[in-house]
Amino acid sequence: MRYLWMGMLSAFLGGAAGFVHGEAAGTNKAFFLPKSPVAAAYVLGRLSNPELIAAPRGEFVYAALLQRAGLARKYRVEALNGLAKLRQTDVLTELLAGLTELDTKGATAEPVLHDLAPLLLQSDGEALKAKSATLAQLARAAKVPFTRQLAYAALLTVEGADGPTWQQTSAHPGQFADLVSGIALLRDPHQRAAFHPQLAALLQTAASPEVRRAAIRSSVTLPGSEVEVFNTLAGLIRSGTERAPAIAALQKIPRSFWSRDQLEPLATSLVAYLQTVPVEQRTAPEALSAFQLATDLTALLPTETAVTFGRTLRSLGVSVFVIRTIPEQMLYDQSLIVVPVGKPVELVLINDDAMPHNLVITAPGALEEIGSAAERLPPTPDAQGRLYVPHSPLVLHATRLVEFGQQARLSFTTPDAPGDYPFVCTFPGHWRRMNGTLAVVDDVDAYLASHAAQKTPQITEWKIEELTPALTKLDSGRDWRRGQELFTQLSCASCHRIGNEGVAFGPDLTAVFAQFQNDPRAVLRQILEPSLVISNAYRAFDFELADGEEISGLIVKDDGQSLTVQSGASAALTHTFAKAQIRTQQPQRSSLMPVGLLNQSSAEDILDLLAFIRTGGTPAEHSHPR
Amino acid sequence: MEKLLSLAGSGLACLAVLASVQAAQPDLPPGAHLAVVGNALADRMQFDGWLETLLYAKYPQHDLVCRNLAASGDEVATWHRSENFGSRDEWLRRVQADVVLAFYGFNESFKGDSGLAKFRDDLTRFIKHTRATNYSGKGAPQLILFSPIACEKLADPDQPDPTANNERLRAYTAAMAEVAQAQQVRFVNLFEMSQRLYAEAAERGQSLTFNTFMLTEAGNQRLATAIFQAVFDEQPPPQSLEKLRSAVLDKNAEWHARYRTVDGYNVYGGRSQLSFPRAGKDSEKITNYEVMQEEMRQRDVKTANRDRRIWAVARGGDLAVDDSNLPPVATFQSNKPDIAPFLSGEAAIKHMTVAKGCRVNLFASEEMFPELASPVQMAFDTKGRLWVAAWPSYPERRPTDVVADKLLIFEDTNADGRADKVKVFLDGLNCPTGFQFYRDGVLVMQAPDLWFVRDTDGDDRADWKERVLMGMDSADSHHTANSMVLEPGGATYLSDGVFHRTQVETAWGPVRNVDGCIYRFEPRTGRFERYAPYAFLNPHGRVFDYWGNDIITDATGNNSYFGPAISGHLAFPAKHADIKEFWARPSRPCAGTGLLSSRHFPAEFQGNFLNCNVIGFQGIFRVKVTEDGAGLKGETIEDLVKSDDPNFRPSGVGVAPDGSIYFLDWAKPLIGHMQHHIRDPHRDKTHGRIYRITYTGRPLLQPPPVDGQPVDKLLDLLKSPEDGLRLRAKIELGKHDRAQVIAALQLWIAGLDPQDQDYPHHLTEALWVHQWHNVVNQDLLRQLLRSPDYHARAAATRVLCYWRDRVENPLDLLAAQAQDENPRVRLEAVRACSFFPTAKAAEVALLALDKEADPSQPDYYIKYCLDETMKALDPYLK
Repeated sequence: MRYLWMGMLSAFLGGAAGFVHGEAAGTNKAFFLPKSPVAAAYVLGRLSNPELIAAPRGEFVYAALLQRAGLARKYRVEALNGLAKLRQTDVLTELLAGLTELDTKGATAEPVLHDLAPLLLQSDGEALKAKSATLAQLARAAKVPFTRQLAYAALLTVEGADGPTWQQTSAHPGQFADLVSGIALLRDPHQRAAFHPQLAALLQTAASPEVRRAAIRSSVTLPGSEVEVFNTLAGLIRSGTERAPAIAALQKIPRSFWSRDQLEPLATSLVAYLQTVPVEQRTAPEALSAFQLATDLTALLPTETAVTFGRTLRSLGVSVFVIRTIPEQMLYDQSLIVVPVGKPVELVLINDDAMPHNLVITAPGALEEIGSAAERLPPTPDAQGRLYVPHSPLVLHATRLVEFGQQARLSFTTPDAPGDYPFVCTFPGHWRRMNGTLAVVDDVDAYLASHAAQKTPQITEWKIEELTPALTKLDSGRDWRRGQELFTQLSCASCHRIGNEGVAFGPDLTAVFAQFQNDPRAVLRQILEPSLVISNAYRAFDFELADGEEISGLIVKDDGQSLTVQSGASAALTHTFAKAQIRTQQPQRSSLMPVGLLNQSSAEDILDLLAFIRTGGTPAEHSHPR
Repeated sequence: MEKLLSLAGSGLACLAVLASVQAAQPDLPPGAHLAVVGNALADRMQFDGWLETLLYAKYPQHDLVCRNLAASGDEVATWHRSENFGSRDEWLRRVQADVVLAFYGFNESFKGDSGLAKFRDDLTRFIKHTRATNYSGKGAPQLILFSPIACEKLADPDQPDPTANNERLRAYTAAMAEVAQAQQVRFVNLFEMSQRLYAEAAERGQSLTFNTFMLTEAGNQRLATAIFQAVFDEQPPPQSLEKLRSAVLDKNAEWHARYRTVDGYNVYGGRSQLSFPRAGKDSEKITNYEVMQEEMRQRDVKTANRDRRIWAVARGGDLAVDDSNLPPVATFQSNKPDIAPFLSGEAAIKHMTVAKGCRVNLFASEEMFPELASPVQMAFDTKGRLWVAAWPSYPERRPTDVVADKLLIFEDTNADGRADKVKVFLDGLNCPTGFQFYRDGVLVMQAPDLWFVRDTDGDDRADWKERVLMGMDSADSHHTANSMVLEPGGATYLSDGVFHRTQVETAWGPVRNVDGCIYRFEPRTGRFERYAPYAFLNPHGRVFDYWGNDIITDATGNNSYFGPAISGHLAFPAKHADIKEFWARPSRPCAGTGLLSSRHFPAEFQGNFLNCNVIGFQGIFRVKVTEDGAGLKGETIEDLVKSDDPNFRPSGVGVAPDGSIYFLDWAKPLIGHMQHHIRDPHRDKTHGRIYRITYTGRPLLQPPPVDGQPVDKLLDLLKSPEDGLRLRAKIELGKHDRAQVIAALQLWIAGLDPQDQDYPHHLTEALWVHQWHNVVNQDLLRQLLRSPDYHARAAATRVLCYWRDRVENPLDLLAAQAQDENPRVRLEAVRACSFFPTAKAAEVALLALDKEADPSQPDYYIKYCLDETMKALDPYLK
């Protein structure tokens, strides 16, 4: 009928010809594959990666293996060989065909394009040369920038720095930028280094901004010219030319090449720049990268200068508060947010609820007035496109209506007058229940000390005893992807690295199961009770300094003279001070990790998270979406 | 004794063992507490009360306490309840059980041979556990185990052949007998007992069940008598026990209201913990839990008060039930003190803005008819009268409420668009969330059961009722099955919202669900299945269009979806993936929907989707519906009606026989379930309005008579362009004899003019009448599957899906539909494939892809539906 007879396979089942035996899996399980290419691609598209790997080989399966994201490279190689054999071509032909087809899928295909890039660039030079026309076509016309850059890199591999491609391309800024970007992809460091004169020239006088940006990115991949490039980039940053790409590129240069005499001028320039950035834009990627670099630079400065810079940077920093809605409860997850007077803050409202919600900050005592006024409003957006936000001086700040899964940000400077400023959802019917207080105070610490934290409703304060019986379900049916999502959602990734994910502030969790003798209960208990075992490297300290400043955090650096203490996952939260400045130093009894991170999770979610952690962040062979 | 208390399939030796193990009669000490656990068989016993009555009569001095803890769908190891309901053990402890009567095995039996081993284990564990637990404080309980009854062979051709069920039930009964013997537990074989009773009844031309497995009241009486004889080896008392039984039923009703309280999620579940200020802002808060548990204590006391009357009647006397001893329930203030004053029904019209050319008039209000409070659903009967479910006790009745919910009939005898008379068809209800006409009566939803209610003497008051479905959950009364509609083929639709744990027993096995779902119910056959298993929060609206496409609306977000795409089969507990909305609604939430089909209104109104929105925008949206590939899409056009009266809450909309639009106004300042305390004193219980919209300058329709018309006249009404009239004609046809209708229908088909542009629709209506009467017509089906009109082909594909077990080569027929040139037809084919548990069905569904112009970017709905069908078929592919 309509189903492929796969020559190598042993039998059909049931006469319907829909099944073949799964030889590759080494099992007798039947494998369903339609004959129509369209239907086959659809069916293969539904398989998980392990299922696809186990699928009996044939043209459709090879094509899928070549293009599927998240597979080990050996399957790509197998697929290329298989396709070349079946179609009686060669591997490079199939690779180029695969790249061309992947490219039509746009940005979603980029991870696989990256994965295939080394296979192309390692190809035999003569073979590549024979494909020059195809490569040139791809370099000019591909949809995904990376594909074009890769094609140019392949051409440069064959031609070197002074080949015809360089000559022909330099007159076309778009193509030339792709070509210059392609330099970074070259496999051979010597070959990359050979482009130093050209790139140095382009950094100074590029024909177009895009070519200059490409040169900035590629320049930091040339071995042997790091110091020179550092100085050039530092100059660009100071002059404000292509600041963001230059900052990003500069941070890729190993610190040993950072010129000492450039550090302070560069830091000064970054601080000056940040002071010009409006408060509401200080969390934009460009400003954040400037913060990051300034902080990195500060760490390398002499102590006294560093302290001054550190203080200035902190005063510029923006506090970000994330408020989420609780599904089905018509509540925010926080009822009290405490902020200092007159400081830039950013509130991010993330709506996890199916109903739409907004967040409106009102003048003290105006909750009822604004809530009631909003209920009387017609569903007509105001001038800023917001629904149910009364036009009133009592409304200080307001987000738009946020639908399920969406978020909205409010950036503003907190009022100078201390007080309880209500925040509320003004969607009609919600305000009586869905509100909280933005406490604007002179002294945050004192306020928090005198106000017990308000309890968030509808949470489970999990105890290890309650979850222990469920651990028997850890070994089967777990959803690894869900665990991976949770690792980020539950903020684990904000402080921990696992595999290639997360931020290395707290302990790396890649091998945490091994550290706990593969005992899931022990790992879970540590998550539930973070202070149970605190390794010395992650013990936090409270410092009181001579000038009265109080600092808490992990000691991330001790150079004998001074300490660098980090109080949160962001490098911007680093403080370096001279040991001589320390008045008191107390180890904290509890872990910096908050308790209750799992309180809003179900037992199933917790198991998925554990399953993810157990794999060390590497997809397990037998993980299934639930 | 021995011959009755038999052990199935295990012979006389076992009898000897049993007799030697235990005394022949159970030992019921004075004051013993009896608890009944088990499935619908036991659940139904509380509504008939026969077995209990016999026990009270036998032990008149014992002051027994009986509490029924059974629920439709229960199994010995399955306790499917909403959050924090309390476990079986907790309830047995709460009722201090000394004697446990356990009725299990029916639902378990559908797992067949493969489930037997687990059933034996589960049963053994249950027996050991129960007999090792001291629930009463007086020691472990006595346990009596009852097998399931057999399924009855019924003459009604709509009812399934019980043979296969009985083979399984016999095996499960035998397993129970073995376990009971091994554990030395008293066991009563109801399987054999019921077969004997069925045979005796058949000799008298009677049947004891109405759907092969649920006993009628009379059937329950026979079984109770037989159980009594078996257990006590004596005849029941000869005198009439009706007075005693009525006392028992009164107590059971009170207990049922307590044990199976509606709105449980707000009484004991998650939202019971919501709290609200007692007396204004910043005051101490009071939870739903506190107040609702106080009400539960009142129900406990009311139940105990009724125990006392039973004891008095059992002793030959009587006692007036005195509920003056109820514990108090806390009072508190509203969290919405500033409610707007109520306008009169007439004055409220001045606050309404209607679509150009339209005019509103008041049809009825609580000022005219105090019974009209909180209208939740409406429908016009075949006499053209408006039926309305009134729900003043929303969110649910208090133990001390005097006024109950009702099903009302409004008559407009002079056809002036204003009601003249109201009749109370059904009173004493609690949360009648939905109803729909069926044969000569109505199906009425009152959780946890769906009743079939009739008026047999023509006085417009209900006098006969049967629970035809049991186990619809009501963890949140707001989310209880509502918006009951009829599809063109005669099935009706029930629903659940989030928090619910429904389990319904059917002759094809239990149907369970978690949280939201829409169900399809064929009242004729008793087939009940998950129709749209989707993560609805609270599906309040569904409509079927001229060609049988449905639009489903989830109230909370007012999200409306193209129904065919989300109604493919998925095995429990799977749900369909998120789907796009068919219409970008400007506001939410939605309390009800309608579809405008009336030539009284101009062309631009025809086929409009009507959507009642109650917050922010308080009115009814008009939505123009057009084709969207395989699906439909909506576009907001001029509003039908809106009001600036804050109490205006349109809760339902429909079309009258004269073509005018009627809509309900719930008329409340407070409407939300969770925004205010369940017992907020500002929850209004007295207001309700019905308005009517006509189009100025266009004549009203002259509705032809439907009620009492002969079959051929009714068939001709199927040519009407008005959806409502065709539906009423089919409802009326449903009262007629099947053979007569089907025979006349063939003549009607033969007499149709094939040149008529509506010929494909007339034929489709003929197909739907077949479906309505549960008669398969393969020739007509095949003709319509290849009709020149794609709407008819799609509709026929839907019917094919429901007839799949009775049509030759259904998948071959579907293969043609899957390759149809029209995407709607392909979609219906892909959807239908999900119901076939075979790999071949996946082959057929995949054919639809080959017809896509760009297979890498298929039609949205076809891609969605194919994904869902493949999800359903995965177990047969891997």
